[in-house]
Amino acid sequence: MKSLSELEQIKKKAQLDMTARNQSGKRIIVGMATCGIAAGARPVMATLVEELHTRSIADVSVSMTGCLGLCRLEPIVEVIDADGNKVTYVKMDSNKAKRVIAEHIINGQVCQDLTISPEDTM
Amino acid sequence: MRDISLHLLDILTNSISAGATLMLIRIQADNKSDLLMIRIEDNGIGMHPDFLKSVTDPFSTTRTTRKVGLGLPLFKEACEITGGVLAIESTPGVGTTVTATMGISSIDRIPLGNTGETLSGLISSYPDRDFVIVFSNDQGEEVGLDTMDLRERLGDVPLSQPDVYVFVRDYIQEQQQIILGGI
Repeated sequence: MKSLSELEQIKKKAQLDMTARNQSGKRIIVGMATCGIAAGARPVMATLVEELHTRSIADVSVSMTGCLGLCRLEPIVEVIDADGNKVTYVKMDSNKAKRVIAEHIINGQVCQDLTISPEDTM
Repeated sequence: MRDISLHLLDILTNSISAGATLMLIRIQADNKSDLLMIRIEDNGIGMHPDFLKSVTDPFSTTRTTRKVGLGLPLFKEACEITGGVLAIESTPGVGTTVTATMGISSIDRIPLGNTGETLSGLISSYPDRDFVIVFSNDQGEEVGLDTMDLRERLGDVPLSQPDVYVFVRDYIQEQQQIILGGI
């Protein structure tokens, strides 16, 4: 059974991470309005955070936002780098989220096949 | 929506958009009266009485990105199909309270789902807001989680830390299971 006393360990570990980490400045944003939620955005966000946790990546933040105006392409995930360059991934799921962490966040390679394609805009 | 925790996420994002800094969530199951109650109380900007009247109309929204607002209408439908109701009280400048009831044994009731994932996502995305979640049952058992307590325990460690996300998710889900079982 989990106990709030575990937070003491989390605090100690996080304080060490904070002093050691290198700020990448990368941010991940997940659309979490009614359209996104109904399309499965919550498990996508959970997978993104869990992958960062498993791989001990502490310098990338994941947060939710409202409707991005492209409801039919939800779940939508945006990756924004330190310079403000944005990559938009559409029709996401948990497996695709794992790819984004491994290929884009860790290796710096944009997953082109998961971004908006010409037929998405028709 | 597949489960109640997704509706909960949707309603709480409304509270966030309304500038709420404190959201109280109570989920109470009373098997004797066969009622599941979900109440979300916030201290956001509230709604004007005119907007409140039309808030469960799917063609009513404050958004500019699209013309429909389906969050509350869908939640209302999910309640009414089980014999329950959705009530919304709101006072401009004070806040809004959404109270949903559902018939626990109704075959049309969607499951409660993973409230841990809902709350941990919100807490890590909005680490400067406060959330209190309480689960209670008809045996008088009551447990919950309060982000003000978490903040005190974590000191300068932000609530948006992935380790905190995983802890909060699993902790809340475990509390839900202990108090409400597989509802």
